[in-house]
Amino acid sequence: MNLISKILYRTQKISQLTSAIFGVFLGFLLILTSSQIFTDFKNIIHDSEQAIGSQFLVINKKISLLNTFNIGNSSFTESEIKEIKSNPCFKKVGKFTANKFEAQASIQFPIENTYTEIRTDLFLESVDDDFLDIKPKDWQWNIKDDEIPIILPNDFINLYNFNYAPGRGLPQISKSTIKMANFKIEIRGIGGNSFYRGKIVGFSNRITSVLVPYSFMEYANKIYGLNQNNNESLRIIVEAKNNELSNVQNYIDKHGYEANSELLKNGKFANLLQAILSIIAFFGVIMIVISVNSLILYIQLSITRSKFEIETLLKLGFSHHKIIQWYAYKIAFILALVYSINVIVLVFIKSKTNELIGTFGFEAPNQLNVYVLLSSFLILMIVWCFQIIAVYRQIFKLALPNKE
Amino acid sequence: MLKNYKDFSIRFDKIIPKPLNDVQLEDNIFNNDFTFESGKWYQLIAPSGKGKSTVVGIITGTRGDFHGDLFIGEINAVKFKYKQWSEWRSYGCSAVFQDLLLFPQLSAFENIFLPLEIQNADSSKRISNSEIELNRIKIKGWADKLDISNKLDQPIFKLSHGQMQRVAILRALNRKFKWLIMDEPFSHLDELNTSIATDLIINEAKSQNAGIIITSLNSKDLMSGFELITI
Repeated sequence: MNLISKILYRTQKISQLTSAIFGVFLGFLLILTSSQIFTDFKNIIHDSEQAIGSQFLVINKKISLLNTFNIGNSSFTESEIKEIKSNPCFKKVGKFTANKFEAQASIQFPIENTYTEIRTDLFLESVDDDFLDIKPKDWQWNIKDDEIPIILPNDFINLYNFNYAPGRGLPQISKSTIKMANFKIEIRGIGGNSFYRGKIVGFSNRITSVLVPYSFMEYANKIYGLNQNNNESLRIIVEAKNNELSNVQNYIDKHGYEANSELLKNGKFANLLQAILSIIAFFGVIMIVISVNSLILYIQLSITRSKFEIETLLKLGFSHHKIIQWYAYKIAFILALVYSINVIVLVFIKSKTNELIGTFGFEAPNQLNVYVLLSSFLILMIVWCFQIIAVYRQIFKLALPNKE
Repeated sequence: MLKNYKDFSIRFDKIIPKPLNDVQLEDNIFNNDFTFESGKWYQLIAPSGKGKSTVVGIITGTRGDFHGDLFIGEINAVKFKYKQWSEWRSYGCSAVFQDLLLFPQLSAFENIFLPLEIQNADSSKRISNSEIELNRIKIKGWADKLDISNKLDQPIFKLSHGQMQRVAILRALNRKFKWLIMDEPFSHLDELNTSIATDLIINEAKSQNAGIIITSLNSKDLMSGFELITI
């Protein structure tokens, strides 16, 4: 039998209390959800293994009619590259080196007791290893090697498997099968010709070129290259800062360049999402302020309504600390309830958003973000302190002899 | 700590209540150096508006609107902090206020039992069931004598004013105290109940070695063994 509670509960208005609690709950839910989703997306963006997060862009100049007639120049000059390097939007800039020699690949495979050979011209490129999205273990070459490691673009193999092969009645090939295939590469140029074995060691999402190690490219260009003085780069690759992606887009537009813009769209999307979530979080903050205020008002009102009860308890010698404690416990209980229901709802919302993110091919962490949980807990503690201060002020007024 | 006090005398040192500034007062309590000796019994008699309730308010620490100093033992209570006031109210003085201050949402029994719970809330040890049972029997015995035992389980608002007054008296008795302060406690009681209640009060004060201050309107209900003071 807790008589104190029985006395102080009399003046509680359940409907007012629930609406005040509901306000706090909603405000908190807005903040929690938006910050959780925000951190999820930040994770995705920052995870460079995932396409949306890749900050690498391949940039080229727009090809116009002039280029077709061989009048315009579509290669980057040294000063242009220097300017790009100096722009704070970009972390790193790398040049592509193309082959200045002729290269042909051929592969033989048996069809009906005879060997059939497929031959194709090759366009090889090299880029600094820092810009690769994969690092196969065989990715090195030196002069004595007669085997050249090759990285193919993923699109290339997809194009073959899903467009070319079905149409021609050819078998589809898995990536591991391709890696096992050995084909011949013939190189021709000023210094004669020579044969190498080609071996595919990996597949790149980032770069749509047939890539060979830079050491090989340098060597082969020197020995067989036709146009030794031409060191122009037609394409460059840059690493852009994530939060600068819109500036990057502006820069590219301004200079009349082109980029694989899908990535930039993703970057823009991330920025947009961030903006939307910030707005939601902002309203969440406003809602919390308002609803916490209404909770404080509710409690002040209920203390005012309980003035007779509190004064009488004080006159009977009940300590004001105990009364404040009573209110502090009740408020703590309310806030703990709000917090735990919020976390449960947040887990539910998160599983739904994860599904949604999953349908776009991305993966968000399954567990809730610890910092989101901790910081929201901290906010609740601060709210609690505010409430207690409000209670203190009111009850202290009643606890001393009335001087008026 | 108030519990360690030896002397619980209450001294009015040049106290003048602000509302009574322009009222002609007999100079025995107010504007004087007057001491209620600890353990003694006092009856204050005065017509309305002469400051009986003010005395009660000043002693119980609900009113601070006066000039002068109030000493409890050797300590100046004007400088009491929150903690000391709540100690004084819970261990020092037990009061029946003129407006009774019963909780309408509680039953008569719960109202009488409440001080025990309040004193226990401070010492943070729970009241055992046997203590509650003992107290229930004690309350039942008092209520029998005052003829309200059939009202004990009723909510307060269903009781008549006289019955409420008896509940308030029992609430004041049902605890430890050094002083019983009673503001016109018998105003709605018949003579029989008044004398029974007086006996209860005196017995309880004797067993606790406590002082009593009772106020009443006129001198026809003089009580034996009480020092008479007219304001």
